[in-house]
Amino acid sequence: MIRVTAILVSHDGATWLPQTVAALASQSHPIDRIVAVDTGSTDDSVRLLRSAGIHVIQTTRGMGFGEAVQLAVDATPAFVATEPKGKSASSASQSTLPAVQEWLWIVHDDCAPAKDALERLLAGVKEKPQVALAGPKLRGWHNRKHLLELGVSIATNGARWTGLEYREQDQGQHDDERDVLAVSTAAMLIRREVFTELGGFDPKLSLFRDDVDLGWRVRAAGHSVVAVPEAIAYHGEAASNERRSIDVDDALLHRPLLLDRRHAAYVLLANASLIYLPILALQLLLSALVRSIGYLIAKLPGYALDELAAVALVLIKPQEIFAARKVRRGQRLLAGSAIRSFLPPRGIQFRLAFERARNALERYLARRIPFQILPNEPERSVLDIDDEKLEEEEIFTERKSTLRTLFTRPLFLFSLAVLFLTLIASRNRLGAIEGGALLQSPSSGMDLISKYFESWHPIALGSSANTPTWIAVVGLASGLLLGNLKLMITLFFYAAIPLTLWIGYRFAKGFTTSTLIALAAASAYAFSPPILHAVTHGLIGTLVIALITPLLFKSMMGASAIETLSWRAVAAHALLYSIALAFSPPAFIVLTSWHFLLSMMQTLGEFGKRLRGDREDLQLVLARVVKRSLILVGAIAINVPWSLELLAHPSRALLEPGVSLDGANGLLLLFGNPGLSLATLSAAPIIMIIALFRRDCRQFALIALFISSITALFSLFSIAGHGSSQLISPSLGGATTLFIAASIIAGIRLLELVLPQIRDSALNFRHFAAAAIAISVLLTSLSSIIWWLGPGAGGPVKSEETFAVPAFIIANATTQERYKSLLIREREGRLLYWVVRDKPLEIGDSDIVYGSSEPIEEAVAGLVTGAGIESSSILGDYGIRYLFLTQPVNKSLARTIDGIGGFTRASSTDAGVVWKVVGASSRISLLPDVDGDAATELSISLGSDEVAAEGTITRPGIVTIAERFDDRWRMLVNNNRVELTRGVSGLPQFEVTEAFLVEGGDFIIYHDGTSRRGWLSLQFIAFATFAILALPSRRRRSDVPIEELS
Amino acid sequence: MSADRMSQSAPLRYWRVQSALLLIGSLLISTVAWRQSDPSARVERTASIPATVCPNLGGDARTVALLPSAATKIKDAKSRKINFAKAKSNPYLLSSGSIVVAGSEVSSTVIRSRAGKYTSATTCLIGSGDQWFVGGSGGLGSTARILVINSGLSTSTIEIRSFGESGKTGEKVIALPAVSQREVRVDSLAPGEGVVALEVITRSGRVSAFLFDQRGRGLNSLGADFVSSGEASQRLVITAIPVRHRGSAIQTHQLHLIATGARSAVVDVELVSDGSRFTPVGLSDRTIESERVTSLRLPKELGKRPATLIVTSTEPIAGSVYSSTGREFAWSTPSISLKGVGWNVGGLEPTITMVGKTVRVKALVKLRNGKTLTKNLNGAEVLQWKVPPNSRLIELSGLDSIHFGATWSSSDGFTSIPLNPGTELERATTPTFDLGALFG
Repeated sequence: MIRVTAILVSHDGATWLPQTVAALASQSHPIDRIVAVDTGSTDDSVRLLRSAGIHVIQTTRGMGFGEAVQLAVDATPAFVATEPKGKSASSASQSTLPAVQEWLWIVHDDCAPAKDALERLLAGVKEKPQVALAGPKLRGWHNRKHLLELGVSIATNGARWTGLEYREQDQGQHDDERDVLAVSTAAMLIRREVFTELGGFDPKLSLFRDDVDLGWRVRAAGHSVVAVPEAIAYHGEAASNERRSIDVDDALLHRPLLLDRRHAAYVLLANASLIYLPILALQLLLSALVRSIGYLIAKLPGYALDELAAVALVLIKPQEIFAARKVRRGQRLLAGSAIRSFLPPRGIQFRLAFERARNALERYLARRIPFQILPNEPERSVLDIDDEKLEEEEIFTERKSTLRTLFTRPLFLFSLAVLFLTLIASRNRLGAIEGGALLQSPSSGMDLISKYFESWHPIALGSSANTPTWIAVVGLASGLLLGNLKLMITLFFYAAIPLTLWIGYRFAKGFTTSTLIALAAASAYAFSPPILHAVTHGLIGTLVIALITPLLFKSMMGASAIETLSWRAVAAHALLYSIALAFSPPAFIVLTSWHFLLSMMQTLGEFGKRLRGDREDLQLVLARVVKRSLILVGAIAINVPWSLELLAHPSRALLEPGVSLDGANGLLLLFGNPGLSLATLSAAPIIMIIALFRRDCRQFALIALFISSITALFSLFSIAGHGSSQLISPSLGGATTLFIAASIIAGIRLLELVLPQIRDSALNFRHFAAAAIAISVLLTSLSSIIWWLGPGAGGPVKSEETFAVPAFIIANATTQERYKSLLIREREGRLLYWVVRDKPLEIGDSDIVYGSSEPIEEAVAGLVTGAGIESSSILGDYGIRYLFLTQPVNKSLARTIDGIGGFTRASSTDAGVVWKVVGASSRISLLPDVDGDAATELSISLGSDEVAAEGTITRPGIVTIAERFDDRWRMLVNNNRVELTRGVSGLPQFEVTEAFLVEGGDFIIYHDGTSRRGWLSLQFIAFATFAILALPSRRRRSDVPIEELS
Repeated sequence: MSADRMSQSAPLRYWRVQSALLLIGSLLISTVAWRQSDPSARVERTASIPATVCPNLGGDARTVALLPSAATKIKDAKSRKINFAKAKSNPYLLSSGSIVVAGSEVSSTVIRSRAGKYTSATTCLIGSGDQWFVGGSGGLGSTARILVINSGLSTSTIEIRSFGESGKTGEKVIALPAVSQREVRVDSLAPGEGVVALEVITRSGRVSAFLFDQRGRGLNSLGADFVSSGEASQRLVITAIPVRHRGSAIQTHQLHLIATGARSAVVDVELVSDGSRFTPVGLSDRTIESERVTSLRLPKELGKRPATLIVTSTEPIAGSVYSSTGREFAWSTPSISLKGVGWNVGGLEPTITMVGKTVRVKALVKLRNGKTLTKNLNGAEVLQWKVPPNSRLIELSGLDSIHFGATWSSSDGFTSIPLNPGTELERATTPTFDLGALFG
């Protein structure tokens, strides 16, 4: 005989109780008795229950769920077998009376079981004596197809494990009865004797996870737990969804997450096998840490604290764990291994976590419409062809195979063609590439990151310049390929054109529904002069800007309504602009100028209201200024300390990453073709000019005009390039991609507007305008592709080593004296020189060296003119031991050097002529002081590493570092700091007197990187702050509409 | 047109005009930027004047250097120190050895004289790699010697070739240590040769060579003079041949020529004397054999003012004129054409001879009392100008290229120097610190 006692626990549940009570009352299988326990509800819960005729036991608000259930159990005596009515007591002996199976049906006040839920639950456990615990399929209260649970378990990191996907809809996909670890207490059916035998719920688990714990204990006691999918209940999850307060006594600060996590840890540690306890504790701690970081990023610091506090609260009270384990040990019948199969394997946990993260990202991205700027997306193509629709139809109506379908899509075919062309154009770049602006890549990205942290760079004459941020970004990006920087750089340059084509297409689709127009626009963008020039000349900065140009352009378009941006969007803009600044300071200046111009105009316009008798909106003005300032200052802050160096040396802000190339004039990039000549004009300026006089697309043309004007203005300057004192044109590739993008969008808008008008009209100027755009785009793209495949493929970027310094010159610098060599090469009528050290220059090195030092410049100039009788002496002071004049040797120069004195010809080979500099100093040398006349003796070499040096000196004298002077050089002798002075030829020197050598002469010379580390810390803080602000914030569960949760 | 239409078209016109103006502005910027962006304009050139060497042969003669100014920096040619110090006096007495004079646009001159016996002068210079000296003697009574000075900081290698009337007489290679000087007697190179020509080739190092010709008979001095060096050329203009000393005409003038190449040269000699230009008898179409010194006697009377000799040749030649009174002599050597010249005359009153197609020269004279005189000197082919008394510095600048030479006579003797710069302004493309040097 089956008897059912329903125990309904209510706590401020008036919202849900009417449905719950009604559901209980209408069950197809009668409930023998219903007992309600109200834990101090302050709403109408008690009245509602009583009005339904349910006996209510009232307790305090602080009573936990388990205790409340226990109270109800204690208050309801167990059913015993009784005589059916009409039979005498003696007619049947006690032994023949049917056995009573009493089930406790524990129900939450926010859970409404379906009409047949109990019936199906009982059917699920019928004839299954081993089953002691059963639960229904839980669905959402509001979304009744939302599958919440079908049995529950616990992950080893404490997470509640249902094995379901986010917001999984119930389509019967899990409708097979299953053995589970536990079922939710929302509508839990449990044999009374088992419940009593196990002592009910653990009183330590006042709320949350008590179900898992009970299920675990039931299983350990040798019973089965099943989820019955035929039985359905609708659960509001009011407590976990923060729809009611958590008032249980042991809930610290009454925070649901804290309580849930604490109980999760407790359940794991109380029930798991002893040998797993250490690893479980560690895993709980680490996962709490990771989750708390996640919550911090999601801007939920309260949740982050909950995570950490929960684990800490459990771990600092081990006695509670051991007491709980003792209780469980007495109840356990099965070994731990019997339970293990009900815990989710780690692999599945990771996979599901990954999929949830991916889904979350997809959901986030799905909410955003990429590159959509216009308020009203064109509904129909101006060509009267709804390409998207056609494609859709092809897919769904013709039932072609996926491959065949793909081959009918223009974008796919075009992409294939471009990939094929990329292979042809990259025929000289198969392998690790370098050349042009791109220096050799180190094998590991970690080398770049190390370089980023260094305060002194042993390159040429040495440099303490701040390493640009882009070097760290590229180094970190190589992590995608396990740190293989060479491969990453090569792949990036291979993929640059296809990527920009794809991005350009996506960008264009925001302005037209026509695939053909979008493809034409994308190809005009991808094959534009700045991008092709960047690919063939190794301009990594331009290419990165080309990839984010759509976003930058979007920000320019929206800049006039900056006050409408949310603070998160402001932070995201700051991050975007920081990338622009890192990879193309000129592009950043263009953006800044645009904001400045708009700010000026808007502010003047606002104050101009006074003239019309209106009042200006000061709050609006302030909001615009604050948001603009935050974006620009944020971008600068994320790039400190390098960005501050740009402020101190503004000319450097006109350079892009890598070796600065002459000839890449901004005007040629704007108006010329990829070969950087004006043989064929670019389509962009033609489009811009036409669009400028068409009111509907003038806004885009004005942006293009603004960018081109600023870029042309920059072209007025001649600046010293990276790794060179040669005056060159500014690097404006990044800025010109913005111009190209603006012009192309103007062109698309122009076509969208003009084509419908010209279709039905007689020949007029609009026909010519459209023809001019079409022809210029076609010609530009064709000529660009031809150039790319022909001369462009032979551009400076190649997969061959371009470093042409003989090995013996390099070997010379690897000794402990660290001698340098001066290399002179004549190229195109110019004499170039460089100071060579112990290794070839690598990517990023050029951006750290700015010019030579004045003494060296004079020495080399004197060397060339023959006037420099001090040249050898100065070069020697700088630790330059060899002078190498490369082939083809300028005989006149060689004769001059022969005659100038101080240089002894060492060799003359096919590589060139080498002279030895008389009296060259080692990198670190000591000029001993003898009776105050240091000059009477020759200097003594002190060995050194690349930057630092340590050793012992025995005599007083002057220690000179043959490096460029920097006030962060330090020398400690016996831990006493020696004062730094600027010595002969401007070299850093330390005067070591007898007083320093009293206790021996152990010395250390190093470059003090404290300030660099300080700045980098600030940079990290700035980046982390803006990144966290920019990331989508997760809502507190209480803020999420209940319809989304259940 | 209705008012309504007018109100609509006005702003329409306005924004189009605005667009046009913006476009024109942008185009203007672009045009200016385009004109500014000529990369060739960015090639920087460096120019510097190398330091020169003023020789001092020692002995009992007095040697002074006429420096550009007392602030001119000098240093001992034998010192390894690279620091220069101000001379502090001008003329500067060379008491110990030769000096190195920091580069200046005004050349320095060394005057070596012995009271009542001789006076001689030469320009302080730095060797150009190949110097020709036509003069000196290896004969009896001659103590001519060539002084080679290495002012550089490394050992230099010098090759000296000597030629006489019969051809090449000797060759000597000298390894000269850093910052040192050495004298080589001409009679050791060309023993017995009456007239010699020397070619000093600097193989390596910073070398300056000077030839000092001194002659005597027994204890009697027959005079002395520096033989200035020059480069072989097909046209020699020997501007300032002294013609008078102590009021008397100098009777002996001999032209010595050598064809420096492998082929003999055919020369024509023209003499410009007291405004007349003529070819002396027998000096037309004369063959000068290769690597042999040919002596040609010039007329005894060359006029009252310093004479000029113009030698044109079919092959590169070097030459000089030997003028002697019997008690003193001078070597006049060719001068090169210049737009201008600066010279610290140090109180001398030389006669400057200027030779060109037309001579239009502006003379600026700075006197010892601080005053400055300017004078325009105009003439036909040859013009002579005597430097005013108490002059300190003269600066001559011509419209066209002019050959300048100077001669003067004093109680000690007479001499002649070509006003050639001791060194030339060295121009070269400024070397650029550029990592492009690393890549082939």
